Amino acid sequence: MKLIDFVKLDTKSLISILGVKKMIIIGIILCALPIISDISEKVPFPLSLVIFGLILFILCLLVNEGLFSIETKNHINEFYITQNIPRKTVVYGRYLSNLILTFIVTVASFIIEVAILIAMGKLSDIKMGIAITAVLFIGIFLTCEIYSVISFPIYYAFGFSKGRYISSFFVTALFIAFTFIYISYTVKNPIDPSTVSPETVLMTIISITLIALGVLVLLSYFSLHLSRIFYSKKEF
Amino acid sequence: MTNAFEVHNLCKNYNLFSLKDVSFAVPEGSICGFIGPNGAGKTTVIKSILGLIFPDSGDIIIKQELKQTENKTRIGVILDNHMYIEEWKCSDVGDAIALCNELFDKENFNSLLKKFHIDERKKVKELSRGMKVKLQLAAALSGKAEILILDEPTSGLDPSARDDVCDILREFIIDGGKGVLFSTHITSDLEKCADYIIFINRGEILFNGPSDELRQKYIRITGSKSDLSLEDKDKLIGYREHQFGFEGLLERQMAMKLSENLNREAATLEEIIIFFDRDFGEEKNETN
Repeated sequence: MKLIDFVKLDTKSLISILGVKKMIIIGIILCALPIISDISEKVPFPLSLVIFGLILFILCLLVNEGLFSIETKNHINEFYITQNIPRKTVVYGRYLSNLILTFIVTVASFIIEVAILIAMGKLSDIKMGIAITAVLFIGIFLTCEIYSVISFPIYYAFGFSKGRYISSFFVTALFIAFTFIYISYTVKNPIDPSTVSPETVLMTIISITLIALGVLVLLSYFSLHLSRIFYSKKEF
Repeated sequence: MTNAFEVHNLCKNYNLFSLKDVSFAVPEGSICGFIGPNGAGKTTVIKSILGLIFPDSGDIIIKQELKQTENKTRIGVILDNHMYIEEWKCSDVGDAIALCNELFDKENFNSLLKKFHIDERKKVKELSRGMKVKLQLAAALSGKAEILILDEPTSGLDPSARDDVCDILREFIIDGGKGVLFSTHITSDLEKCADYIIFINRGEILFNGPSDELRQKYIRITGSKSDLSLEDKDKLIGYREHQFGFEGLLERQMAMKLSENLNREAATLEEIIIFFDRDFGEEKNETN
């Protein structure tokens, strides 16, 4: 079985579990708030962008958890194995499904957000507005992918039901630790915003994005390896 | 006679249970009933064959002429708990399997759904137990399976649905070169369609051969307690006393030495399982 066929199977399963009607309702509810905030003249551009970003973050996490929730109520692992799908393909396919679906959700959100912002005339500088939106959405995409590569081996080791709590705890602890380090650093080395040029901000953002991408690639390598080991030893 | 598949010296150890050197073969063109009391090891053996659990040792040889990669694709599986997503429509089951198995014939699957009176637009969760079994059968038969492995497919089905399943299995093996391993508690189904019986108890194969031979091997002994010596009583499997005397199971050849006053009756497959199960239960109580 090709990896892309597994992605199709995973997507089909995810859609069946969530249900098309339910997905549309969830989509409308989740998108209503940011779209209303985008349309509303009272909500300024940065705030409406943050609201949309938050919803995108939730949607990406739904993809992450949704893919694994397939196995909680069903005997889908038995299905994969009795259909002669190599265990390696199941693991690699799941990572690829997550990457592709999260990417689609991010791109779709980006297009909707930019279209609404332009249509409502909220962007004084369209190029800059699109760039800021893109940077934020890329950041969210990378954050969600990093969360996924950390959580997937935990799901494979402990099962999704237990694993989701362990990974949430683990990732929250990591987030708090990094925030603490960042705050301690900025307190010791305060930056005066008036002295920072837009070029520096841009370079900093690009550097952080590239570092995040590097971290993602490195983590993905170890994560895939660990998940493969855990899944290859699992009995059903 | 060639075998559809063979199991050699399968061993698997758990804390409270172990499979001990399980070996058997399913000949081509036959239906093998796989029987044994609860906890005897039937599902462990089936899961080992399917690769759902890893045996500690042993070999499973599936159709030697097939390539290693083709092996599992040629096994059709029907489990007590189906493996499909409950929210899938019946047609989705075919689409999903088609993604996994290149040999899967979607048209044949659709025609089998019609033959079994399954509405392809219905969700799996909306089907009755019998229909779910038939859906699994349709999927297995459309995947060009040469071996069918069924784990308790008929439990909870009404007699008519069970009869349908037996008919489908009989039809399946007509082509030749195919084999069925049929694990069930409902031995009347096996009396109708099984050519061979594999009897497992406490992780060990006690009998593997033609079904008539198993019925010949054991006989049911009944009679008055006074006609049974203590030594003979120990030999009886699943010995039980009641107000009219006692009953137990014994290997036919051993029964020759018993008192002539005792009654000897042919044992049914069901009785053989019950007596062995009772024997196991009593031993467990004694150990506790």
